[in-house]
Amino acid sequence: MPHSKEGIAPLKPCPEELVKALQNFIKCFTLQRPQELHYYCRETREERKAGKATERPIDVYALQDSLNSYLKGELPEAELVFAGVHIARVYRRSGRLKIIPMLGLAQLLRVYTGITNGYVKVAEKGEQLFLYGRDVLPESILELKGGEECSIVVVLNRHGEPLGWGRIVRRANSIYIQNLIDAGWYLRSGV
Amino acid sequence: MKTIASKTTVDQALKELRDRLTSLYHKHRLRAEKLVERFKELRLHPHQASRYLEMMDYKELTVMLEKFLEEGVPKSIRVNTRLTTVEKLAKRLEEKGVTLKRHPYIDYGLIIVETRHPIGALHEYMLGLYTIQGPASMLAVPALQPRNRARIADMCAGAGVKTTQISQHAPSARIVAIDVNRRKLIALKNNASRLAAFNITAVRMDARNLPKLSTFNQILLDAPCSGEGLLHTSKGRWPRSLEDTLSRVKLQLELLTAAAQALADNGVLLYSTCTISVEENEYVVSRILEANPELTVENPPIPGGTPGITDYAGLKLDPRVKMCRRYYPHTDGTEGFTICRIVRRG
Repeated sequence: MPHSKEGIAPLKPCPEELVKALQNFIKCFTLQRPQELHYYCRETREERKAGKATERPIDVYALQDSLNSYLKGELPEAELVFAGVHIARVYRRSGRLKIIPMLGLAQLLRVYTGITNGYVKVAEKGEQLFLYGRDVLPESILELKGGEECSIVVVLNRHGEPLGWGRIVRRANSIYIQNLIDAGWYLRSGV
Repeated sequence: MKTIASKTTVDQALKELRDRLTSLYHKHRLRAEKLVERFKELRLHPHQASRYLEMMDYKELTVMLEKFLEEGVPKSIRVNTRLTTVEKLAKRLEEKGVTLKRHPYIDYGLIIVETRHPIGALHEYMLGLYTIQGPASMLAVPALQPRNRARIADMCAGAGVKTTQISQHAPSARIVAIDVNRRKLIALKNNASRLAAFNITAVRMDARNLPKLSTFNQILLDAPCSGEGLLHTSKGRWPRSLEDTLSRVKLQLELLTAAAQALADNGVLLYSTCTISVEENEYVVSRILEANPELTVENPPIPGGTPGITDYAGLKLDPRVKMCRRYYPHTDGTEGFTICRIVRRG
């Protein structure tokens, strides 16, 4: 199994429990199952308290089938920084796996399955604000489909392109979409 | 058995270069100093000017330097054809006040003629519909002809502009991106996500150790270089001394040596730089051909450019480097760039 140096955890095939949780999560957004993809996991350096224990969340990467053989041992003595696309970070809470989607998961859905449920489409003004890290206000919502099962929705622009992820927040007479992560984050993060 | 250039060969090459380039400077010194003065905004080193005087005739040289001076190299973008089409993207950008024209050589390239907004700040960039890439730089990957299912190494991947281009050409290839700089590989990770490239794995290591990793059917070596092809930018304008040239050549020889050793039979090695210096292109390729008789140079399957230089400063240059391709601002409207396609016969 390839290993990484300098204290970076190795990239390993994700455990079945996590893959199932991920596939169930993906069902919130599409009926199709992504083909030709494998999922690899790496423990992060971040530590967090989970009751009396300390846990390390797990970063999940999705990679093309053809790349899978490399990670099964064809690349020895290598510090693997990443493989495929970073699609999620997973925490364990009260014994259950909690999935935080990353922008890569939105791209995965777009390229491999299409997004047919669990989305909100926003108008141009809403798109601008969302990409600057703001929430989506009710007047910018063009269409909202699903979102009840997972409470997280893919935020799409009027062309159907993913802008990021949001959470539905219900008020007395309206709803708005709380910004969880948006595609403008990369520019703001400076990386 | 593969023959590789030894440390002795690298040292010999550097010694030869030092001797020849020192003589060259003495040959052209007076004209070089006048050139430096005439084009002082380009911040040429007199040694650098003497090399240019040896490379091309004076009239053409001044035309080229004028082109660099007027910053006559446009910005360009590469359309991510995995997520959109050139026509759809062009229409959207034009609606946002960007004036575009088609890249003369690449069907998924667009030249930015004029824009109201920084081209890296538009939503379409954030959503991965395009990425910013120089017009000649965009030619290196098509010259490699990436194949699906192939094992492909990008030896000095940086933030992955060309790595993601390889993925765009061959979404089922097995791509290994290599760089010593972790921060650049983190940027590559973000670019892979933004551009939906699911077949890249990134390894942090010195690319001179490539043979320890694996053999590869195709290798891209877009080598660290002096960047003389970027004289149209303010960052590209700094005086390149003899020592600057020699230090780049040393690294390029070591990288090419590693690439030659890691290349599988019938494999393709695409060597490219953003410099017009003969020392960093035809000369280093000639040394690698000399040390590896099973390697040869092929014509790259890309349009434009002019042939590689085979007669320069009395250096022994392999005649096959004529099949390298040079791009200049005054002949192609691009940044200065050089591409050599090297193959290993089976």
